[in-house]
Amino acid sequence: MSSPIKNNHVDHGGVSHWWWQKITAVALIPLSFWFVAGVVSHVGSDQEAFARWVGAPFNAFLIILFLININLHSQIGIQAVIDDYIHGRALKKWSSLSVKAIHLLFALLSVIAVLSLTL
Amino acid sequence: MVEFTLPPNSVINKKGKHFDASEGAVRKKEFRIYRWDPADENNPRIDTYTLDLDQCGPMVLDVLIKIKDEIDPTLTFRRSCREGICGSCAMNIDGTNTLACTKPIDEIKSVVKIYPLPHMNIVKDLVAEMTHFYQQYASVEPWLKSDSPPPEQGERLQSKAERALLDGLYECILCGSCSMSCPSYWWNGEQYLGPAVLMQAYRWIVDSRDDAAKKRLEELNGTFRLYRCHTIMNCTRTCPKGLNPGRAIAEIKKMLATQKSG
Repeated sequence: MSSPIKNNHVDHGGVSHWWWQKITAVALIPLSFWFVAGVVSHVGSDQEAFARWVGAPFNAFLIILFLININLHSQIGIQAVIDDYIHGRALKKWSSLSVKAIHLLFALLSVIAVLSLTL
Repeated sequence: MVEFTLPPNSVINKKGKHFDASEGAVRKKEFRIYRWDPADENNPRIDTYTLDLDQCGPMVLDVLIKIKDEIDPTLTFRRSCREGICGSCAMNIDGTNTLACTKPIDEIKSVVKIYPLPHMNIVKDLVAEMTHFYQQYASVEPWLKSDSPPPEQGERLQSKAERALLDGLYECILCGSCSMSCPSYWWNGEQYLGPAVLMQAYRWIVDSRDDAAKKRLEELNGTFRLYRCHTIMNCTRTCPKGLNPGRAIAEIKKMLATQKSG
């Protein structure tokens, strides 16, 4: 079979992208509710009280999980948009890389911020 | 990048020709049909035909044939079986991809607008260039691949349950209505296989007589061939045969996600 489109641009990133999208989406359901509830319950309290809540070990652990998840989920989503709409090979590569870098930076900075409150 | 503006030669000239064949008609109906001829340099135009419905069959294809036979022989379209089994007359009627031969004129309340399948190169008028679509169909190797030799006498047998898995899949006539209604196929049709072809790939994956499922799945696993499907579901909504390519694609994704060692 010598179809001109056979094996054209075959890559095997599809399944892992699909899995990570589903895993992060499901994980975000309880984590988002918990995080928003935590923030809302501190409406009116002072900065110190909120920092104490964030800095408590279990809370900090869940918040870090939430931050990593939401950055990963966002990166995966934006990657799909890039795959859909950006067709130039070089442009696609660079936009994918920068989106990854930005999300990694956001994740790192926010995780460090939370960790600094646990000390 | 996605093209947000149309190329200049695709902009439709609204000043098309008018043909009125409805003299003395009780039930008049207006049809606006996309016309483009590669032989001249002109942009496409919309021609208007006013017909007497009492002098015409009930389906949109009847109108097209009447126009070609009696009013304007230059109108070009594909048709063959006129009963929804060959898939030749797939086109965009009243904003939806469907078969002209099974689309009753009665279902369209106002003016009937007829265009070729969207986002395709056009050969002439309502005839879309389908070569790439057929090549993509060939690329999923839509034939039985078995490791065992056929039985000496008779056929390869299936249980009723095994045969039932093919229902809703084998009825596809490859008219292309679904693929050409899919925004993902519009943006990435070069690489994304599209709903029609993916449903046929699935048809062979679930065939109990076929032994190449693993290889077939491996061929589909890729960011572009399969995963450009974002469950928009235009495919299922538009299918003139009432089939569900969206479900078939979801099943393929599920199989790929759950099969061992990828």
